[in-house]
Amino acid sequence: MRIRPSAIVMTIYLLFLLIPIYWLINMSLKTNTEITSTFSLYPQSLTLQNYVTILTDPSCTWAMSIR
Amino acid sequence: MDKTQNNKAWFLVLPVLLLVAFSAVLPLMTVVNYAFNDTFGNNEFFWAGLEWFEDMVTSDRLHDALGRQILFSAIILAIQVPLGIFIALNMPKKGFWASLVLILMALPLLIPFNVVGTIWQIFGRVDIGLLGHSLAAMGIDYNYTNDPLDAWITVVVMDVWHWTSLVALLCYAGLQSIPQAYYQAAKIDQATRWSVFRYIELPKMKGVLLIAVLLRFMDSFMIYTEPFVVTGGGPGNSTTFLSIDLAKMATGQFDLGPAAAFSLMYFCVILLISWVFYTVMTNLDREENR
Repeated sequence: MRIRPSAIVMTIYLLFLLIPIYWLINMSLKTNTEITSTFSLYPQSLTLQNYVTILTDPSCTWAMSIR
Repeated sequence: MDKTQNNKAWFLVLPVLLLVAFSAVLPLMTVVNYAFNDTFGNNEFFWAGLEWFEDMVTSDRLHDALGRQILFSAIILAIQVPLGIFIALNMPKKGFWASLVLILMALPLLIPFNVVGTIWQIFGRVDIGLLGHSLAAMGIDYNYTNDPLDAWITVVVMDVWHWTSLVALLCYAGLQSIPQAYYQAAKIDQATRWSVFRYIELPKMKGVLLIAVLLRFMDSFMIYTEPFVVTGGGPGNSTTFLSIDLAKMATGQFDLGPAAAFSLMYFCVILLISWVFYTVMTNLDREENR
């Protein structure tokens, strides 16, 4: 099968668009110590603690007015 | 027989007039007030005339910021417009892939400006960001917090990331509106790919392309949030664009008079450029309809 050049262009462009977003999601699923101590392409110890914090910590919920 | 004039309908416009007076005219007049007066607090004002305007017109700081701003907008247009056209030409025309590509391309446009700044602030960091880390691993000395050139590259790449899709989507819409018959005619005439682009696609995209250029110029000329989050205008003043400089002056140093004079001139420049674009666009429309 021949790969069309336009498919290559679009793949490169979409990777350029999505990798920074992936990195943000990746960070959000890591613990703070993992972010600062090791460099990994995916979360070694998957955690949702960051989301728990942002949704329950009074100083965060105040900013979003969802208490 | 003369028609009786009835001007009662003007009263129906009154609510809108009042609303605009409170939401736009009054705040603007406050700025005008600050621009022509000097104050030392206590709500006491002293007439300053055109002093602040003279200060601002001759200020080196403003000239530098304006120079950086024009350079930034020029770079943004020079990259995003050709790249957007190129991407639009390569986008799948129909089917599942077309929908998927459209959705993925719209993603950066939907992200709040502050979050875009945060994404690139993290992404570019040498210690925890993928981009900074990869560049460092390749042996490239990259540090956007110390090196002005790296800071510029980061801010430009971030804006390309954020807004190229807009140009591409607008051009894509223009391309989709070209009837298939045009391409068939070109095929019969054995037109090359370049002449199809030059004589069919480009003229048909002209309208949307002008809108894209206008939008991108306005947005990049007024850019504030993203570079502020990523570099804070630094290192030094190297990425301090007009809006950032204005905010520094007004809320950082509390130089309200100069800042007000500055913002009025800023506003007039943008109004002037928009008017030029508007005139060009309406003239193009008239030519096409002739």
